[in-house]
Amino acid sequence: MAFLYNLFHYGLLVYAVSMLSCYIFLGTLAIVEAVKYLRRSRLTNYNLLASSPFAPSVSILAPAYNEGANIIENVRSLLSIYYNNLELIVINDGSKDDSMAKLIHAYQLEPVQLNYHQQLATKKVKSVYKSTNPVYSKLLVIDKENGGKADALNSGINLASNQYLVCIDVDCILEQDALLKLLKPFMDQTDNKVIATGGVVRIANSCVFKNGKLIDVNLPKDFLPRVQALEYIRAFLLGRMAWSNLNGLLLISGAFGAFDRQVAIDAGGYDHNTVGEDMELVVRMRRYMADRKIPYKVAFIPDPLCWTEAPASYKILGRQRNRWMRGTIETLSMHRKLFLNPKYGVLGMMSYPYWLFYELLAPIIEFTGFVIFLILAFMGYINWPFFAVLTAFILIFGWLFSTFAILMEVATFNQYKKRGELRKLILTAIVEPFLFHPFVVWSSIKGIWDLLRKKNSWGEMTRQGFNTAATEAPKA
Amino acid sequence: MTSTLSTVLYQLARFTSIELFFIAIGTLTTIIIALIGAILYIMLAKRNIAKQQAQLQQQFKYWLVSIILQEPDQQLQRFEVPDDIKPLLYRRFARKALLAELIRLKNDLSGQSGNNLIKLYNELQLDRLSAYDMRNGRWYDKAKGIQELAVMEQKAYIDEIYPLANHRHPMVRMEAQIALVCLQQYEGLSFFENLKYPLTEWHHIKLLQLLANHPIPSETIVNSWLNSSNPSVVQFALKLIAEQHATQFQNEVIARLSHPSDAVRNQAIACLGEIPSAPAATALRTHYSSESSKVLQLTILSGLVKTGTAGELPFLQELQLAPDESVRLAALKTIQHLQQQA
Repeated sequence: MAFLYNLFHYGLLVYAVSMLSCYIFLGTLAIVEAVKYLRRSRLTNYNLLASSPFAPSVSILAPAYNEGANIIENVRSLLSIYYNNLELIVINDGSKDDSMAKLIHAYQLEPVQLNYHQQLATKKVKSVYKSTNPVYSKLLVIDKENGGKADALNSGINLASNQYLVCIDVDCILEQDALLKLLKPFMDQTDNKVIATGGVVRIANSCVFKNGKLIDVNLPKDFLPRVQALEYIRAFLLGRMAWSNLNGLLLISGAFGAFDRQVAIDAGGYDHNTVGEDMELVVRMRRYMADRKIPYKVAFIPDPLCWTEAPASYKILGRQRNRWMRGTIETLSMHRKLFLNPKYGVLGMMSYPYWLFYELLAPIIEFTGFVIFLILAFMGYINWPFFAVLTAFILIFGWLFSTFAILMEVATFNQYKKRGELRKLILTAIVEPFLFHPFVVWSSIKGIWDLLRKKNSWGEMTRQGFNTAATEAPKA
Repeated sequence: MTSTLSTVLYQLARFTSIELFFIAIGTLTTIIIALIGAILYIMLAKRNIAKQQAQLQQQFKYWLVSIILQEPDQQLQRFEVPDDIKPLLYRRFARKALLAELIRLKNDLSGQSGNNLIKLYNELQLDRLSAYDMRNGRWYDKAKGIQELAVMEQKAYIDEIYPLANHRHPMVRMEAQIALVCLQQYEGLSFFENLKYPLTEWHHIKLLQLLANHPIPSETIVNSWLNSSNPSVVQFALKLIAEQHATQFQNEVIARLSHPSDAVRNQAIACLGEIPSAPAATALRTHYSSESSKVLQLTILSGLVKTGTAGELPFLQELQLAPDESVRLAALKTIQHLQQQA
């Protein structure tokens, strides 16, 4: 009994220490990568890419489901992207609202007979529309039966004719030079083929937008979006930057990422059977390249490129985190062959084990630990002074990591520079372990439970809409 | 197994005394306080720098505007430095801010205004700052120094820049290559002869932009690039031919369809689309069956949209029977296009 108790006790300790060591290691790598990027970026004139006839051709894929309220402005924002060699494909994924009618009216769309090559299986495409107005010549709209985000993106890939795909959530707002920065790594490739690039997604709540453009950055006023702003800084500026340094990125945010079209098709496109389609595609593309022994790279841009609205209620946040957990489990389960498989290099030996132990298992271990703690406390087995010290240690380490992320933010892109914003961010970091983290763990556990019950819903994401500065009224 | 684990656990127990955690908590708390201090310091420093820069920009603004607007007949004399700016030029920070401002303006201005900025740069001996950076061991200073010398058209530094075109750091060699072309146009591309590294697509775009208004000076030089052992140089030459629609290189481009590199063949196909002719279409059609890459076969079919004529229709119609759907589709698109043209 004592042996089992010790095994549990010290097993958790070893797990926690290894996890904290990983965080320190990743933090260090992130600094190196961020400094390298900033130094390169200062010397680069990205505008060169926008007008060059030799810039790579890009198809932007924007799936939309029941986005009628903002679809016109969102598409207008995407059409205003400064890039020559571009087509924009909006996929209406069987919306039940008036999205399609609004698009037809506002952009003068007419059905066209296009040679649609069904390279990836999708639900039935009802029609493809093109605008009769030459101003919108870059726009193509697919109207299809509802099949989910992965299905919508696959039908977009089937229609796309350009070299690179940029997949974007239709309600995201992009920075002016976002596309140029996202595509630059493809232009820099030499020996390693760049198969995908991702950019930083930032929280748009409380920011001000005008005509689809960000004009004023604010730290979210409400607690939940604010704590997610901090979480995103930590995840993107520390986590993904570090994995990018190791060429071990497993995830490119579904909100904004670019892919080599041919590799994406050859790898089989988005998988319909998972709710974590963005992560799954990246893992599959990497696996495809590694299996064929083709040197490759997945690049990451630390600049804030894309702004999205974060859930502002616990209900919506819970659905999102539930889905993220299910997506992670599904992806890791589909690609379990990678686990500690030296054939896949960093992917198999580092990225996969990290995700398995510290992303997937962490909430399970945390939740189990909490339940066991309650039982032991009830039975009077807790060494309270030791418990207090251990809890303090873990809390302080968490705060240290958040403070370090804030330092990285201030030293690099420094988006929140208004009076009081930094103070609020630090205070948010202090209360996060009590008001936010337990909820995220609980939502993840619910996600695992839902997966076991084979409940596969996406989870509706209701949005409040962006703050918009006084501007002209929508046209439709 | 159990005894081993017990030993491990026993050893672990020795390292997990409560005192150890107190030390760890103390250390972490100290680090957090230090990090918060660093955050405040960086924030204040950034704010100060931004404020100083804005102040300096304001001070330089009217002076620089007057210099930009100076007429050519006033060129013989030196630009007068206003009394309030003279003391600033002894401060390194202010000199660097002025240099950054001049580079920014020069990037947007050409003609007489640009020349005035170069003259001021020379008069204030700001080239010394740029050259100092170029000679620095840190790659980012080196690259920045080279970039500034190129923007300010400092031909005196060409000999120093030339060896850097083969520097081990990609940013340094790219800036050096760009600088050489910026300063000498086609002559600057002589570094192709000794190029040890491949040029990236980004290099291509930048170099082509610099040469956009300069017609190809001699066929010999382009032919030597087309025969380079470095495939990225061959690709560059093909892009240059395409951009300048240099039809005189048609035969050489057609010959590149049998190049061993996929990237070169791809570029050759794209290039033939920019110098359309009957032999180009025939060459593409003939090459189609011998092309080993399916992707390039599809590129040929879409390339025929630009070079093809009604003469290609029987070949394309034959492809309508191909087992591969993507081939059939690509052929159909080209047929539709050629029929529309006809």
